[in-house]
Amino acid sequence: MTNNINEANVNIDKTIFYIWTTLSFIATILIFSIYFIAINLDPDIKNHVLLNKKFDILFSLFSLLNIINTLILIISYKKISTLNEIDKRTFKSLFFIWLIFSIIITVGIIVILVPLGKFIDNLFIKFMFFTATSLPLITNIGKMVTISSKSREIEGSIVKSIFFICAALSLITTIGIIVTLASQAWSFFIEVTPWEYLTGTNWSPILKPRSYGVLPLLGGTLLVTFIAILVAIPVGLGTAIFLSEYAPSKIRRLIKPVLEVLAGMPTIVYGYFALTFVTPQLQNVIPDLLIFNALSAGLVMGLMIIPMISSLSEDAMMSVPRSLRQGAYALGATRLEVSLRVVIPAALSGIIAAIILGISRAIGETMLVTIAAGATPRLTLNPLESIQTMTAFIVQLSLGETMHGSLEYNTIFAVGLLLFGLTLSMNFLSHWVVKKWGVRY
Amino acid sequence: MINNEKLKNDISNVGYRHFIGKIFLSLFIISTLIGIIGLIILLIRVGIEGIPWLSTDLINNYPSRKPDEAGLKAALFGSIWLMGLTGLFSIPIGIGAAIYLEEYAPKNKLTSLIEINISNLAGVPSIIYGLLGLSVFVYAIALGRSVLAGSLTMSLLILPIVILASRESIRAVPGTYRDAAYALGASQWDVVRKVVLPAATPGILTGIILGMSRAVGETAPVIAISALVYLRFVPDGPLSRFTVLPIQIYNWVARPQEDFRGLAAAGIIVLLTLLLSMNSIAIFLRNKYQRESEE
Amino acid sequence: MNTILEAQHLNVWYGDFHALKNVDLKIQDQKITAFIGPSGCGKSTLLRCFNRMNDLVTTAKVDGNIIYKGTNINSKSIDPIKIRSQIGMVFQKPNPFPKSIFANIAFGLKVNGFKGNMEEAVEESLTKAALWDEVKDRLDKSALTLSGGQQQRLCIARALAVRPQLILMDEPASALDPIATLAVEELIRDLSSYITIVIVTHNMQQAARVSDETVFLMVDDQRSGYIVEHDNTKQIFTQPKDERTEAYITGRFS
Repeated sequence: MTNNINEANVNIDKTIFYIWTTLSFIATILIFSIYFIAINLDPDIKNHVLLNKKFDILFSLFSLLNIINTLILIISYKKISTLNEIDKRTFKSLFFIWLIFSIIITVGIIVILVPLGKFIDNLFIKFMFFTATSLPLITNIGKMVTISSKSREIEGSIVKSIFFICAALSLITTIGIIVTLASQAWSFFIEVTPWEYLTGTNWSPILKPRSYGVLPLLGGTLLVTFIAILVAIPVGLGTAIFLSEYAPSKIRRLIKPVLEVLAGMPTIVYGYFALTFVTPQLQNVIPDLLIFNALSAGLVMGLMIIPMISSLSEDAMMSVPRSLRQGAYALGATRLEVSLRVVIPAALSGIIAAIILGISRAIGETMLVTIAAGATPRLTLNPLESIQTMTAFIVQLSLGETMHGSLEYNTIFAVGLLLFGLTLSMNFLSHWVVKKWGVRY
Repeated sequence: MINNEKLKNDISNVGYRHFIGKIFLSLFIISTLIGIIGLIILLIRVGIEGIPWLSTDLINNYPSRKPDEAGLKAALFGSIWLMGLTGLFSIPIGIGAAIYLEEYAPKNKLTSLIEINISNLAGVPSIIYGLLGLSVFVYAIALGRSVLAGSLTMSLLILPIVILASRESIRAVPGTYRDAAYALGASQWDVVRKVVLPAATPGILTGIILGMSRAVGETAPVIAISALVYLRFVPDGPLSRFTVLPIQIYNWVARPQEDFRGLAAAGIIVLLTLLLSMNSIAIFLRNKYQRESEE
Repeated sequence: MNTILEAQHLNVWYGDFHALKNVDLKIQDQKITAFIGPSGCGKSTLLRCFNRMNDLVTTAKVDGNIIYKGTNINSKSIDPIKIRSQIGMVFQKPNPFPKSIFANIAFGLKVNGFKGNMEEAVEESLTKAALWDEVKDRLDKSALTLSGGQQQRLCIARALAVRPQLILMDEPASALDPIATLAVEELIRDLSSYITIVIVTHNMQQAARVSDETVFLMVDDQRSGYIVEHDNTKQIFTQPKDERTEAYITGRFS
């Protein structure tokens, strides 16, 4: 009885499978033919397509992939039919390849073929074109469903590989960042020696005489960061102590969302606030203050990173067990003494990590300093002057459409590499502090 | 032996210690208030400057050199396009990665490398993502300065946020649920699909909304991708050029005329309204979820 | 017979929950008093009234008088900080601060403004707690490097450092292995020659081994705790007056 049902299922699956495979072939042929018909019929498409040589190559590649994909599917399907006898590993690798092909094809169609459709005026061709482009997508999904219903084990490994690719994307992102920054910075360092770059005290990449010493940008970044940290450490820690040691839970529940709003505020808003409110207010007190200055940007940046330092420190302090506090209270300590002498030392690694992350955030912050701190690369300790940070420089060059591959274009990647290196080492440092000195309760 | 009486006398300085305690408590309260008051001043400032400039023109008009005619239609639609496409890419990938790390990943070096890597990516400055997108999506894949390139970049930027939040809510699903499902003969994928995901959905949604609001508010990476363009059209496809609200606001803030500052404030109000409505959905979901789990 | 501490008509509420009902109790000076009873009967709650630890629980309300050496310490006008620096407490789980062994002992003295010779004071406390020989070479090492039993004796030494006349112990050996438990019990017996000790325990053998006086508490049907019987330990364990006490110590209910 059960056997009969299983056989019936297999037969249905086979039928569905052949329909999908056929559809896949038709789709590939359709795309090819319509592509050539369209090119010859419609001069607009021809112009557009011919403008972009990459399109031709990519298009042929995708069609080819689709054919290979279907072939792999047929091979693997035959193996599934004799599921008991085959080696599981061959099986998994076949499916893995098939899966990657499917993903590439699908993404490729979405990214490249579909946008092309809007250049086609002829309604009939447009309709056919969309049918043809969407068919591989549909057939891919259909194939996946059919196959996965065959066996739980295969289904499990397919699902697992999809999810693994998702997770591995983060590694690809990191590699992408490093390769991108390093390769373009390499082109920069061919023309400017790293020594000149790292020790030069004059930054003038656009105006002649050109000079590529990054120290003024680095100095500007550190100056603003220093002011911000000066504000954010005491205020953030004070807030964290209040919330974790003093505030009743009602007040905590009231204040925490406010701090979350502060943390989630787009940085452009802080930039607006610094330039149009804080700077004029400060100018009333300090007449020498320029419109663009490091002080105002630093103060507002301090406000911006308060929630980060306070919430991370508070988490660290909250994880100090209650029994330690009780032990101290039982010895006659006041609440302040418990907070300062027991809780803070016990949570110190977490607090230091929070501060380091705050510094890293301040170094990487972009819009606030672009708006409020100015665009004058200058090596100075005077917070009343206009300066330029590394991030602000990258934005300044990005505002115009800098020629791809020019020295200016490569400059932003050299600065970006330094910025990335700085923040990355800060992040590692904070992990290390927690790992090295953190006490697990 | 220590003089017992002397110690007892020393203890009598309790009044002084309480006094110090009160001074510090007031310092702690002041610290807490600084953040709150800062936020209130900021919001009041934006309100006072921006409200007079709020009008339907603001939403219906394209940018203009004349403040009275200027609007942010192109930017608003650009932001919506960016949000939609970013969601399309980042939601499935983010959830997939979270499921892999919580449910499937073996405890090995590769897994811990991926985990460390994700938390580090969360700390990479947003402008760096902009440079990545500029180099890879705009030039190498030749998508141009399009909304597609922008949203692919933004997806990479918010993925760590979505993954971390989704992982947390998947981890919060009690192990007993899983055991019960396995005991009934469910496969791992069945358990993930029918037990874990439904239970973790509200938390995952909250994470997605947090990530999306980050994407809407970010300026720097979009500037690197789209440059400071002056557009008088809304995007009509993924390969169209685009601008977004924060860029439009930046554009207005950067001008010296008072009127444009007012427009910038009005733009900020529009942006904050968008963010606020997204976040209230997140808070609503979180509360609903917490209530359900308490029942 | 001297009474060092006396509870008069003590009632404790946690919010609406009446945790402890009408407790009248006298603790004798330089004796060891044990609180026994089923879990949830309010032994620890009662103990925590004696050094006002319940003040730290916002919902807690303690009514009645606690007379310590002639003063009612359960009054608003008495600062709990002063009380706690005179009455020591040791907790269920060893809770040394994540600092050095030395700093752990010195903590109480420092916050209480001790200005004498700190090394001497630390050595004296550790010696009293029978820990000095084990740790004298590594006073600057973290207290978390000690074993569980050593940590608990360190916590006792920490309490001793501020020279209390009364030490409250809340199941001090429940988290320890049998050998460490014996060491702590021996220490408690030694201390009783010059310090009053009140000990909460769920272990009846321990109460019988260690204490001079035993107080048996129970819960009523509203889950409120009350005292059933208070007598000297020998009497309670051999000839209890109340049949509920007898039922409990013979293990008929727990």
